[in-house]
Amino acid sequence: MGKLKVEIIQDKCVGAGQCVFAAPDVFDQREEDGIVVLLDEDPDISKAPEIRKAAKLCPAMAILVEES
Amino acid sequence: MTTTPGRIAIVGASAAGFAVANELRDQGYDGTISLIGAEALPPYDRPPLSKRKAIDIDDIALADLGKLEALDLNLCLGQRAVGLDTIDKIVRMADGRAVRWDACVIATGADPIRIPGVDSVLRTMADAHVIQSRLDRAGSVAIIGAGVLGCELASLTVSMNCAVTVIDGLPGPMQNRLGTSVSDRLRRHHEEAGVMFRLGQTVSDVAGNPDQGYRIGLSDGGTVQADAVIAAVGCRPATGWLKDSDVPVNNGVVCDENCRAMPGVFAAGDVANWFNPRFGRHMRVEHRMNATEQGMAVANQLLARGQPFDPIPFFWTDQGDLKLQVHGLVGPDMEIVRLDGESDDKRFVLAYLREGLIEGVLGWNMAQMLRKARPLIGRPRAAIADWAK
Repeated sequence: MGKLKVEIIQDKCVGAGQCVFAAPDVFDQREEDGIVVLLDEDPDISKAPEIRKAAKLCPAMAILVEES
Repeated sequence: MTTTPGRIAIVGASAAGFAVANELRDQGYDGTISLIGAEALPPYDRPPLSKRKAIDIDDIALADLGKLEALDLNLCLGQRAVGLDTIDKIVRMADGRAVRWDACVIATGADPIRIPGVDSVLRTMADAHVIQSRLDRAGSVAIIGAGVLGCELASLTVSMNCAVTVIDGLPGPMQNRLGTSVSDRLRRHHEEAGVMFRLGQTVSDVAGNPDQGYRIGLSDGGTVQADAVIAAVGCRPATGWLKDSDVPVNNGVVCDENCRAMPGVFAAGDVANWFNPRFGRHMRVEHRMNATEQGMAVANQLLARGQPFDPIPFFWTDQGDLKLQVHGLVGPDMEIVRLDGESDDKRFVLAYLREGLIEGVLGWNMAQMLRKARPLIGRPRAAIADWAK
């Protein structure tokens, strides 16, 4: 309890960086091509609002969030 | 006191309309949501249509069937809205039915502009299937229009080993958006991949058909011969169905900073011409990102917890191995300052300024650095020196 399960699909990612604006502790981008990098696979549930916002804003639908 | 509407009708079931419905449920709204879409397909994502070949609906659906069911929508797909009555509060449907609402969201997007004699445009999945079937047996293709869509199609078709000619009335690809210097760089990018350009040329006439090929007459008297031809000359906001309504229409549905066109009527996505308080002017933004953001903003307006919608617009385009991204506003008449990059021009970040103020930043194969430059938007030129440190 108290954790989220976050999954990223790098093949879908378009490198918009919106997830990093929304949740900078959880997402980053690769320097060379801007593709998403997951910094924290099972972040604390307290970060749920910003992580869900990142998933909703992602224009490529490349972020999946589940409560674990 | 504002009360939450009991019945919400969303006209348009693409990215913006879907975002409204999804956000309403996410925020706990338990009223009736009607989601009305002219296409028979469930909501799907359009940008991949011009970037990849042989796309399956499952790859681009905005929600799988389980999720769509869980949203508990009154889904009216394959059904076209033909009128909006703001007195009796109904959406009139092509089949004569009426959908009643207490609040309505207009999210009908935009329709591609057609060119006489050219039967291919790209907006829908059905369009993509037609183009794919033509290209499967075409050795050459002419693309009319060198905007974002035309350029993406050029990269896609040249990767399919077609001989590609792009025709545009402007002197360079995306010139009216990016300005001359970046447009020149973009032209070089495409020419290196094998794309041919006929620029500064308008199309005078198009003759032919898919079986015998096409002959495209140009304004300088020249011609282009091609097995297939696609028109990619932009879109018009899809407001024809509102012509007998009292919804204000002028280059889209005219809205205030809350995306409200009139009491109880909102607009989101390509069709909305709203006042963006961040830039102090009305704008209509045909970007994928805006569809989601504005849809979410309108959902919150409907729940009376909205804020003025003041996004920094964002778009990206993938053209071969080029990833071009823009935050904010860029234009051909703006001053350009280089912020970062490599000397061979394979990667760079630029700022676009209007009257000494940074209004937009552009990244050419440099997404991460571009993200770091976004906070410059709205700042004066002097902020660049501090940022560079």
